[in-house]
Amino acid sequence: MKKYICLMILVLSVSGIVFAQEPIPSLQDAVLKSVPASKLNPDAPNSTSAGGTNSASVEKLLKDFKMTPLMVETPVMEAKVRAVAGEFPVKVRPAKKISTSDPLLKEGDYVEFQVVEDAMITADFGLKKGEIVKGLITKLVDNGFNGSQASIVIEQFEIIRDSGEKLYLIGEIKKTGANHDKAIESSNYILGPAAFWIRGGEVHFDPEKDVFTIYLNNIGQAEKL
Amino acid sequence: MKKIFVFICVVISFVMFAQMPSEARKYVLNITPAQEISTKDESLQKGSVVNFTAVNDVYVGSTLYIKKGTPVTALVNYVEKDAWIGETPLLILSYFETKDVTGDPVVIDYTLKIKAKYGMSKFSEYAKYYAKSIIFCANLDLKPNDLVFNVIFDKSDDD
Repeated sequence: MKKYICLMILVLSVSGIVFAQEPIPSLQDAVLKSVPASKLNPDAPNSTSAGGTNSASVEKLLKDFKMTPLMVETPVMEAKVRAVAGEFPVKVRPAKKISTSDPLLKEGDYVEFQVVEDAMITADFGLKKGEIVKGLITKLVDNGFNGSQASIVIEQFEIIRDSGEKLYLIGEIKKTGANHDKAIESSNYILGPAAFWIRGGEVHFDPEKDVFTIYLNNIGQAEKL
Repeated sequence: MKKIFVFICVVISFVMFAQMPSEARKYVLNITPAQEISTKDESLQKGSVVNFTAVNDVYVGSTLYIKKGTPVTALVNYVEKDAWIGETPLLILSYFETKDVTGDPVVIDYTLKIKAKYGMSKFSEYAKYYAKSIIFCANLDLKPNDLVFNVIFDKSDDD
């Protein structure tokens, strides 16, 4: 009995030590590992070698990196983690304008997105450019007075092909309108309580500008209707 | 002793596996009023029950779950009436009840907010609404089969 108790304690302790000592890489480290050395600027004063660290270049890369709404904190790491989990990014844009100012738009409605570029995992499995992906609006909050902004959450993306094959995609698109804080603050001096009448911003999706990333699982998550 | 240790390990593994949540997906039940819903009089109070009807068949995976035309009841959670100048009367419904194809009760915990401006898309409709709300207080007035509302619920395929 004692032997097994000791064994369990030993296993738990060892696993605890291992997990405790696992270093959490910073975003800068993640970028350094993911970006080829050739892309870093060798002329920068603090560069070490071709494969060495170059903080100025990394900072510039971080600044230039355009974060999509899905990639919240560490986009590079998120992409890596998802790749390990077998999830491949699919870039989509709204098929047409979507706006919370549309009085007919409500929770439970499906909205359409279009695949921006081919996302083929294998030769015969994946999504092709132009395919229509449907997303479900699971949360829709209207804007209101005193800068109360509208917000929308779209998730549970799926694609139904002519063959009856249904593919599920993973991901969530969240967007919130502007809160018009500055307008309210400045109006408070001039108008006083009347600034209450300033409304929060609506959420707009523009097919020309907005591109989002959702994920396709290589297990398929497909079903035949 | 060794057997007991192995048995405990197997039981723990089984319990952990059984407790793993199966993937639930969201489904949408389209409903339309089966009765007149109005905030004009005192008939609609918190706790009242309002009747709806399912507009479409609901499939979970490829199995029919809720049949079109099935009665759906909803509980009134909040009523805001007599809105004035641009305000909107509000009706909040929750706790939807219906039956699946086998006749078993289905309870959906979802909050549906219905505003008087719901479904208005034309400028003339808005203008009429605001003009009316200035002279008289605006109230919610829904006719049977007038509008369709969405009720979202979670369901996993193996439930």
